[in-house]
Amino acid sequence: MRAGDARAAESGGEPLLEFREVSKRYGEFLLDRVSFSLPRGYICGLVGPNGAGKTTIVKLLLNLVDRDAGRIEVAGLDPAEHETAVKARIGFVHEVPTFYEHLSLEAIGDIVGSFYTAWDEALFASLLVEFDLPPRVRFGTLSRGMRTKGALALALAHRAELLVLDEPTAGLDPVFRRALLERLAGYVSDGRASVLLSTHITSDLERIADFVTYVRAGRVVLSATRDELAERWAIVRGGPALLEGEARALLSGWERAPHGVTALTFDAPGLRRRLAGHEGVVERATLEDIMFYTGRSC
Amino acid sequence: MLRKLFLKDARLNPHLFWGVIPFFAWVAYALREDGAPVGMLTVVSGVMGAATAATVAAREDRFHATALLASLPVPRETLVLSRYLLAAVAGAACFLGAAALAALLPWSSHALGSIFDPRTVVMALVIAGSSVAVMLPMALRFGLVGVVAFFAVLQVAGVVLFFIASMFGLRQPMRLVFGSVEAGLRALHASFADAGASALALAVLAGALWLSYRLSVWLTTRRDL
Repeated sequence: MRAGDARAAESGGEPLLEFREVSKRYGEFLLDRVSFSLPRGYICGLVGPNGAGKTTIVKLLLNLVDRDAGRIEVAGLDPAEHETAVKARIGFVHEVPTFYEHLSLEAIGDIVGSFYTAWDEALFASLLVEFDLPPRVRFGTLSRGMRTKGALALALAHRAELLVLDEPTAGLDPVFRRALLERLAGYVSDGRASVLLSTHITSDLERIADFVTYVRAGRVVLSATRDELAERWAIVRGGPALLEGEARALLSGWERAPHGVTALTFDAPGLRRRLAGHEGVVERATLEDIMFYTGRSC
Repeated sequence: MLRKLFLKDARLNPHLFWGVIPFFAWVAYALREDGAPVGMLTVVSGVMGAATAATVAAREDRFHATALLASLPVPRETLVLSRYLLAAVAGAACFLGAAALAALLPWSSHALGSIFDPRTVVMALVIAGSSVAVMLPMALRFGLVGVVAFFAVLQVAGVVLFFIASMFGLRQPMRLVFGSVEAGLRALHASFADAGASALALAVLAGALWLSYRLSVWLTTRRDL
């Protein structure tokens, strides 16, 4: 049994976060009937190219934008109807952390903390030390990476049930980035909390995400566990005959080269059966492969 | 929750509280003259105080911190309510501050009865309240741009009025406009001697503020951050 299965059993199978057919239009851009769910005790990676709709999903969750259709639930509560109760459960890091620039992190902590009943002052102080952040320096003078670390400290210090992080690793040095990912993995390990991590850095998700939801041009292309992805999606390399046989129906986003074809399959077991005895190599697909080849097929 | 929002605003905008000191110094200086318009000074102080709420909302927007505030566990309706209450508290405080100067300064010769003339109090409420009713929805929805746009529209309207008046051969049209405004305010002030007129004005003001508040809530909850 995977560690995650034990966490799922503890959570009783109820999703902590659920999006059902959520739509939002911004001028020309349409976030179209987005659905995915995240059980307690897991990390869900929200991945997609720039402008895919990841930040809009995060904003919808925080009720910062008004949705046009669909249902969102956090611990069974709709953020639009139970704004305070839902936001008290969420720790957030926005893509561009904007706090009061003329205040220090210590002062911002005092202000932000006053709104959370579960705020832990000692934990916040220890996080500032751990993240090597100066508590009394003006927020506006901090680097992008330090601002993100500060936002993380604020998000973690009220022991949120759901951490919502929008591109948190952009601007972080590799050492802290890895430390952050380890911390996030540790944060969900007791099955109490979950993390929704929006990013376009796929290697981060391959390291820690239990679930992956891939968004492209406002639509969910796939939403699956990391194990399902590894099982079902694969890269296949073979000769030009690959595109002529019945295996072609299982391929997408193929790339022709002088000596053969490379393509993505969404049914690796089925493809392996069809290719039995024929030329072709099926390899594990990375998230980047999936993003690249599904992008080509659009 | 409202107390926390007040404390936050106080902590984020200390200069607004220090900024009233030069203003009250000017009030104190103006009061030294015989026949100083104490009613005008207290009313202007009240309006200035009430306008603080729009400034605070605009500054929130300037820091791009509106999304942060809206991400905290505070209903947006409460955020709006806190701005209206801030306008009421700051307006009352500034009105009372100017009144206290008029009553206590040794060189001010105004009697308490003239300082707290009911007509002046109603006048202060009407002007400050109607300013807040117009400005706050703009500031809450459009931030600093909204406040600037409000004054820009007034400015443009003045210029247009000037040209229209010139086309009809009026000399010194602005004097006519300002004169009309002054005469209107004086007439309004005088009408508040009648308790019925005061009650009606306050009822209309209460309705306008309620509509303004509901409009602000509607605009704010639909604002995409």
